[in-house]
Amino acid sequence: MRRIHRLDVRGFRGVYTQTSLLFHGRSVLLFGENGTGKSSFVDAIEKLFTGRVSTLDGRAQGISSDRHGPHIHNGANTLSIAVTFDDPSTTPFALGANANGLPSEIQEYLTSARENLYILRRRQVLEFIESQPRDRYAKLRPFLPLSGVEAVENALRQARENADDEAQKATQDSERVINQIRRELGLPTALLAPSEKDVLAALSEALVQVGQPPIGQIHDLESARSNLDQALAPFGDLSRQSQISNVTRTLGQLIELFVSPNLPGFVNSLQEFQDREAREARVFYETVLEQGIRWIQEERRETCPLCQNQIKPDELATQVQARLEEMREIVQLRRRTQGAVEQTRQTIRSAQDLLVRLGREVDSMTSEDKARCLPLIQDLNDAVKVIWESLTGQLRDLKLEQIKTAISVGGTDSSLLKRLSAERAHLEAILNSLPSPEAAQRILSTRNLILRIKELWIDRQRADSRTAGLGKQAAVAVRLHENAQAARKEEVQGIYDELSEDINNIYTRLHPDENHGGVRLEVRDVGQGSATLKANFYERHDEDPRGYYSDAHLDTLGISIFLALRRWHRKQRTSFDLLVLDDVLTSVDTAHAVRLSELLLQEFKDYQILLTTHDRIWFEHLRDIQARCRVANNFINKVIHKWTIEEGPDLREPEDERQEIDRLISNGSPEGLAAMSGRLLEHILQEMRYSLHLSVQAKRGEQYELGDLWPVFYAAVKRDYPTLYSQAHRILDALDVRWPVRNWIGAHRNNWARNVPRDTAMDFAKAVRDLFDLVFCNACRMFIVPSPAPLGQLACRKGEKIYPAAGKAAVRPKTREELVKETEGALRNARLDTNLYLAWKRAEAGRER
Amino acid sequence: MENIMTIEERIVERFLNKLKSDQAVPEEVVDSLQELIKEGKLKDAQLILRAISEGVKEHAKNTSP
Repeated sequence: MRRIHRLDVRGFRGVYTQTSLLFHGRSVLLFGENGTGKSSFVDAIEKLFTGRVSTLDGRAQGISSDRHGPHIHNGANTLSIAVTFDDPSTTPFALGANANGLPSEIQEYLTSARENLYILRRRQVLEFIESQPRDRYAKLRPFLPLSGVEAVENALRQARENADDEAQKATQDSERVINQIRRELGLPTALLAPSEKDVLAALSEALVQVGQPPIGQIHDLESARSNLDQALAPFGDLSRQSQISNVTRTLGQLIELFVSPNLPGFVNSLQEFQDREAREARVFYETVLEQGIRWIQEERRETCPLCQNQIKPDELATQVQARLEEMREIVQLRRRTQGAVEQTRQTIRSAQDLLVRLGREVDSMTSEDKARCLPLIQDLNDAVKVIWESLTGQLRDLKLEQIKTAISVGGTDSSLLKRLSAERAHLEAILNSLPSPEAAQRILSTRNLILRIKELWIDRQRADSRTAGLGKQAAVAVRLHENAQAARKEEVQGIYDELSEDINNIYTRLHPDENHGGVRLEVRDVGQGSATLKANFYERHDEDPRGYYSDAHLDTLGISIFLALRRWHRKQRTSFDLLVLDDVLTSVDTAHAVRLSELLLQEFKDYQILLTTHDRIWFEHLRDIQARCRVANNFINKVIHKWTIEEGPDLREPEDERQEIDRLISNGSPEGLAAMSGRLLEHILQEMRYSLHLSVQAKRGEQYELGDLWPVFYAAVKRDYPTLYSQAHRILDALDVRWPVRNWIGAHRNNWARNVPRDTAMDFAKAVRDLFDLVFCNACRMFIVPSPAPLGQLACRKGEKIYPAAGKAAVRPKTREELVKETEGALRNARLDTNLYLAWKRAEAGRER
Repeated sequence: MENIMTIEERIVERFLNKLKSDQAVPEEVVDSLQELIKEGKLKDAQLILRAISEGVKEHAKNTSP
């Protein structure tokens, strides 16, 4: 498993010059006051691994890591971010580089790191809780690798929709045949679907009228036809009459269809819909409005989520509601119009069916009759085709003018309809002129009806059988899709349950003996991806935690969720162990922060953690907790001494600066010597400022310089720490005179100071070096600090360097572990208060005196 | 060595079990779908429809007296 060895950043966010954050494969606790560039390292990690910075990208319009990531003075300094892993043979992975050439385990690390589930910033603590269920699910997506299953589910849904379409088409076909039967028999349209009994009754009535016996079943149709043929035999050859009679009847049915009232009705409906939608489309976008108003209301926003302009939420909500109401009306209109279009399509399909039949009937006519009818049939076919094409497509795409033109062909005033009527009249006249008695015509008409119904009944049976078959398939397709959805939801819920259990474990550790928790993530019944968050609060169960939890509890809940998610991710990506917490501890109160720190250092000790804090007391406190949790060796504790816009965060190790001074003493320029010595002196003073509680006049941005720090340090040592002063007085007195050398030649280019001799700079450097050697312990790798007792003693942690209190013997300070052991549990519920601590120290000093 | 199933594999297995116990889904359809799963073709709506269609017809044949 690989770990980060070092992170090198240049020209990014608050980091200007090349700066390295050294991990050495361990965790890092990084202290820096606000605005000293801690988060720049966190942002750099995110940018390097994911290509984005979540606090910039997508935060607001115009803000992005590409634009705002580079340091504002970036010019000559090209942006660069690189991470080196703890395998010495590995080339660093730099921003924009291709990872293909890197070892497979590094590539695996980078793949996991791209998923960005290991960084939590203070401002992101509540993100998961505040998200909508769908967005929450999106955050969980990397934990749920379901793309394959989702593709299957989509295919099943598609299959379900296709099966449903096919079944609907079959039903419509069946309905058309039924309508035809209804028309042939003159049955009322109120009759839903004429049964076999209805059909037989109507046919029997017609048969009885021509002196034939009624029929009892459909199979009798053939014998009825045979009987009618026998009854017609005495009248001679009536085939031409029969053909003309059939064609005349079909033409009549076509005329009925063309003058059907649903054609103009549908046009009016479509016109109204298209006008209305065109009017609203300019100002309306339903999803945007619904989503937008939800954001505004739920998040109590006072700025527009889209343009960030100031808004009046109540006024806006009213306007949006009015727009939504209008949209609902449009939806209803669309539904009505859709129905009308569908009805019209059915009419046209019926006309197509009739034309097919008419074609067959005309085909059997005499050549003379056929020659008369064919041009009309051709024109009818063309007209119906144009109408059908004009009705094809989505509602909003239908061309109203085209439809109007197309259906005008079939209108009552159209020349085509006039021709149709004329042809029908002409055929009727021919029929009347042919030698056939009235009785024969009635028998012939009944015979033709019997034949048509027989044919239609077969069509109906086929259509019904097809409808039933496709209906079954559609029902099976629905079950498949539903079962697939249920399987996914159950499995995901299982994962949510596991996750919820871990969230509760963490939350309960942070809030022992408190009557809430029971956090539960749930899959919603509707929708493809969602995660609803519920929790208990006293006797209230399964509530949205935002309704009852205090802000502090929501903070710890947010952190608990993040840590549980991180742990879940680790289960799936075992070789990726990075965990970055940017200043999140200070978002919770002291007692909970102590528990959280313990939990982090104990339960996440096998992670490589980057933990930042802006609170110096917490920094020290965390070091105590490291010792208490026996993970001090896992951590490198780093301090950002200062930050400037020109140089960025100062993370250099004091020992390195000390060595550099030695090098410069032998061959450095006076300016180099003064600059480096000044930097180390500043470093010493920044540290001693904290440990000796030096009172410095406050400055904006806490940008203290040598001139601010030196006088108070010098005075404090002289006054409060005589042992140190007695050993260091020559150095201190020399520095009291020499410290401005840094400003003369080390920090500024002053013409008047160009003749400052090298010896002066060297004296300054030697004094700084010697002071460093007195106050910095190489064994502890830290500066001396006041011992808890006796008051006035300064010592390093291990007691290698001790400056006893005046008139007292040196007392070896207790190790951090010893102190922690003595105070085991005392800090657990402590509220750290510096003023209280100092008051207690003053009282102790008083007692000692 | 223990065979650890992925989430997706677990979902597919659960899906099949549900189908097998669903009276509304003919056994023949489940068999056809299993074939599609084996061939990695369950992401094709047309193939699914065909499997349903053939399965339903087969079922009708097998259950007709």
